[in-house]
Amino acid sequence: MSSPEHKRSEEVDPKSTPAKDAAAKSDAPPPAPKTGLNYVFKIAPADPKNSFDFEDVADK
Amino acid sequence: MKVALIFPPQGHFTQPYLSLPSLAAYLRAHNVGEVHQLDESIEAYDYFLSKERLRRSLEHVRAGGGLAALDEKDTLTFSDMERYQTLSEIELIGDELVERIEEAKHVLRTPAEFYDYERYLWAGRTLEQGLRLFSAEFAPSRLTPHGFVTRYRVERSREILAATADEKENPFIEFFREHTLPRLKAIDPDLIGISLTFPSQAIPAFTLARLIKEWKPSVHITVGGGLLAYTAEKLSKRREIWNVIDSFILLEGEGPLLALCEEIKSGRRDLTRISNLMWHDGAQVRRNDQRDPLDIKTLPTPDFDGLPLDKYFSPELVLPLAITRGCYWGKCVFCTLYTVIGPGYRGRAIDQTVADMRVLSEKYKTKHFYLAIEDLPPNMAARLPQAILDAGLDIDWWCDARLEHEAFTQEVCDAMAKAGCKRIAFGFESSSQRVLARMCKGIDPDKSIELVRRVRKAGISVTLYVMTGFPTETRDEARETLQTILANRDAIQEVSVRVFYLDETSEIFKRRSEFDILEIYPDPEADLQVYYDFKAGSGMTRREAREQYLEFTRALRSHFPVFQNTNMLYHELKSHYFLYLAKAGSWEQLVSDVLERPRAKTSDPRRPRARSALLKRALGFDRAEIDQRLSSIDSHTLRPRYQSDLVEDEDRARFDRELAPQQRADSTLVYDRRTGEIQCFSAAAAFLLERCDGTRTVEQIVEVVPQPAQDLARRCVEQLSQSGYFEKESAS
Repeated sequence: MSSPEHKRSEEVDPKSTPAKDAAAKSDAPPPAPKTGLNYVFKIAPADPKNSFDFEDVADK
Repeated sequence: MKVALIFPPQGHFTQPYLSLPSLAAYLRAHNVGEVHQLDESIEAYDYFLSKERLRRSLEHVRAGGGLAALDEKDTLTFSDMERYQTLSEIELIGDELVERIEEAKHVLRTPAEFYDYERYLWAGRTLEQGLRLFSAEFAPSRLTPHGFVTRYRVERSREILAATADEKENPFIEFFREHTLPRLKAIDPDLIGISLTFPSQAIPAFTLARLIKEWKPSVHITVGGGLLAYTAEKLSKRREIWNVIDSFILLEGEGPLLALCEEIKSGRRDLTRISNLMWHDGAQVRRNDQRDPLDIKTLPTPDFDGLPLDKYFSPELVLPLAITRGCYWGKCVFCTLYTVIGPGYRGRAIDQTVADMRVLSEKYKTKHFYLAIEDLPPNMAARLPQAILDAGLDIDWWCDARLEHEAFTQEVCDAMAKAGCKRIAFGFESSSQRVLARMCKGIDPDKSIELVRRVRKAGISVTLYVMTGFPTETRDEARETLQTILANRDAIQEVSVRVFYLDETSEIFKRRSEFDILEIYPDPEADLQVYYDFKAGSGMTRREAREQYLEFTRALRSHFPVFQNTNMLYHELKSHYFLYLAKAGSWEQLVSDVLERPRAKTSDPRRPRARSALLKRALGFDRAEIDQRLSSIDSHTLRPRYQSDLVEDEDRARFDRELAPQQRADSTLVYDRRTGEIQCFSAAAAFLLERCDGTRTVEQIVEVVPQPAQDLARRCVEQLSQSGYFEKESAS
């Protein structure tokens, strides 16, 4: 899940699939995010220090 | 006579260090009176990472507001991003951390929980997150499992002293006042010895000394330890230092400390009689003669009595034991370790070592040892294993060693494994014979790899130390080293890589022109400077060395199981990896049972329902992107301070001016309460997660997504499933 591979975005051109199309479906989506959906399905680790530092670890 | 020996923060939290137990044993053997040992490093971690203390941090951070205001902005500057990163995490999991921090410590201290790898990972992450929450209260100071950094530079004595009085950014003032001083008052010592080994201890150590002197000016405070080998002379020149301490003990501490005890006990307090002592006589700094190194065969077994052995964040004790002092090789031009302990190499007798192991094992109910030595000498490698076996000791141990091709035969390696050796860390440094020769390593890279394979064949885990950026080393040579390691990764379990630092106490510094070092860059304000940035006439530039280091770490992450994904065993280096290794019995077993254990396969739910254990927080900016940007900025900044990735104020101001601001992009932070992991979902991914409510099939979930994106949406749902975001009972 958190391997670097998962950082790759999987996306399509948002312009070809306007967000309003999704909202127009009968099964209404949750409130749309402020900047609209652009169909980038990205799940990435939220890691403040995305890599632990080998040097810090090595010294103690 | 009462003596208090103190190990100040910050050291690692998984096991005790050896300095205090060695000194305590020596003083107790000479009947100086009461000897108390205080490991204030583990005590501080335990206190900071407590429910009550973390709640205060959370309240403090919340009172400062922040995230909502940042989320209203159109763009974020670099400084904003730093705050956003911290505040978004705290906003999401602050309450959860407060509620479960004690549970996390319990997991790490309890065998049944610790060796449950999923629980271990959760606990490790929770501790790190807890330290981030705590650190936010004292920003920009940062306490991690591996360090303590502040805006004050430990290369400048003026700044160290200033930090000791900064209540806002120095968390140890409160800790010492509330916890250490009351205990010291109860002991009421005549002499206090502070052990100073790491730069991360400098500010806490002098903070503590200052507070002690405010309480009891008459108590003699002496400071000893490895760091003084580099800095004592320089520190002694700052007059104010002598307001908070009374003496420095240089090199080995046992003899001088005993002599100091005797002077104080007798009331003579004649400091001129004590060897290896530096002190101030009121008019000037005095440095007494250096005594000969101790014969370590005369030393008692280390005594850990009085240390808070149940507080370390490990389920079983791993005890450090020194069977040698100094390095029998002692020729590597970059190495400065011999300056720490003093001249000469000395070894303890084999039968003493075995007796030490037996005594400690029985007394402290542990079978785990870390041989805290520079390198295992060939004669001991040949004889110690059989002695351990003959004594019938059932122990596990690990140590450092040189790649001595002739000494570590297959027979020797097999015997070491049989006698409980689980891991050896070797100084490999480079696969270039030219570079190794310039380092005076005295090893051959091809033979070293042969030796590594022998050790592996014996079933011992192999760690290699590697250095990049040694003067004259070219990028090609460094890449060749990386390729050699990757080509032999079936025989190597861990690699510890670091950038070369030019240390002024090293041989290479003294002979730097021979290594094509054209210029060094002293910091005029850094009176304690030990490490120098430099310009070389050949080989990699410093920036290239740093880039090569990053290339190395990326490759290690891709190819070595121990560094991959969410693995934290290496991160908690000091004893956790070793304990897991000992528990599994072999590296292969550890990989198959733990590191690469396939997750329990569950059928894909027909109507997926997101687990209720997820906490979510919608954000106006993409946290993952912010993480990536900040990390890449850090990565591309040459770290001007040794061992501190703290961004300097002037750099921050420059980044704020020059870096493109972060644009808005909705995202959702999702925290998994079972694993402790936090993921950042793009708006579309978060939207799909919301739709996974148990009422829809996968097709119904993705049908609202426009046709061209539906395949991607299906894959995203699959990823959610594989990542364990769905309730199992949804499967039908």
